[in-house]
Amino acid sequence: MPTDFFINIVNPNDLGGAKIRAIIPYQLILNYYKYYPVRYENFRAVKYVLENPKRIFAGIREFNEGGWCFTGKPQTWHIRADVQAPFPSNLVFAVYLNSGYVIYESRAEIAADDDMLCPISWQNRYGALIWKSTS
Amino acid sequence: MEEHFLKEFVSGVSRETPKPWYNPEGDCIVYQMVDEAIIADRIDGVLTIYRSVINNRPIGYQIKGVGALASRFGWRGIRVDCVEDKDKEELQNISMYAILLAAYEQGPQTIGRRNGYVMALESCASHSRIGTDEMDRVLS
Repeated sequence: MPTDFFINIVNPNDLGGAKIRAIIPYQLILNYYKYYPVRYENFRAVKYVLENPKRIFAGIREFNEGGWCFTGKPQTWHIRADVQAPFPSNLVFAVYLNSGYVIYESRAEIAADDDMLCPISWQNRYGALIWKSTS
Repeated sequence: MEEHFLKEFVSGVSRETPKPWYNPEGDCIVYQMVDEAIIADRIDGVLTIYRSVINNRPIGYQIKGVGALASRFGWRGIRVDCVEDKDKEELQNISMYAILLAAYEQGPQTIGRRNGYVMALESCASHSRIGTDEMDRVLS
């Protein structure tokens, strides 16, 4: 029986509290593997960013309630299925979760000029920057 | 390279040609023509173009808030070019063009938005429809 994969993350609803379990749904794993091997390989970057977030944003959608964006900088990522490369300094890797802590999207974004750990135009795109890494 | 931590989840699974896919967890439709790492090019609150990190060309799109689009227009309202099973009289496919046009209608008519939507529409050429079976949750 297929199962989801779970990762413990900073709880965006209780930032000082215990970690909470985020979900990579089996269907997402399956679809990325079937259709987009690069995205499948970059689940490594997803895991890294969720475990080592630099910024967390709330209010990620205009038409959907809730959800978060975790950003960070993995050292490497896959640019083709068989090509691994350093993660570019002008980009930030973003992982999107819905209000049930389910991961549904991951990708690189252009980094903002005023904070290279935020996606470009972050001030206009998200409800709020709710957490910054101190390390 | 280190073994992939999800390897056991995909044991025996075959690779397939990409097609538009409705992701119920994100209430979004995702399609990528080329399997390369992507940079998001956010056009507006609904459409994001995926650009190749290798050469910056557009290689796909994400349409967000599909449920909200359906609520606003109704599937029958955006069904411009669908295929119906005449025996069952059910909607079987929904046009990606119709969804994109409905999304475009929601925002201001700017050159940036128009260019973004043109890129997404051109990306639809090879897979212009998405099956309703993919979208049960948002249709119900």
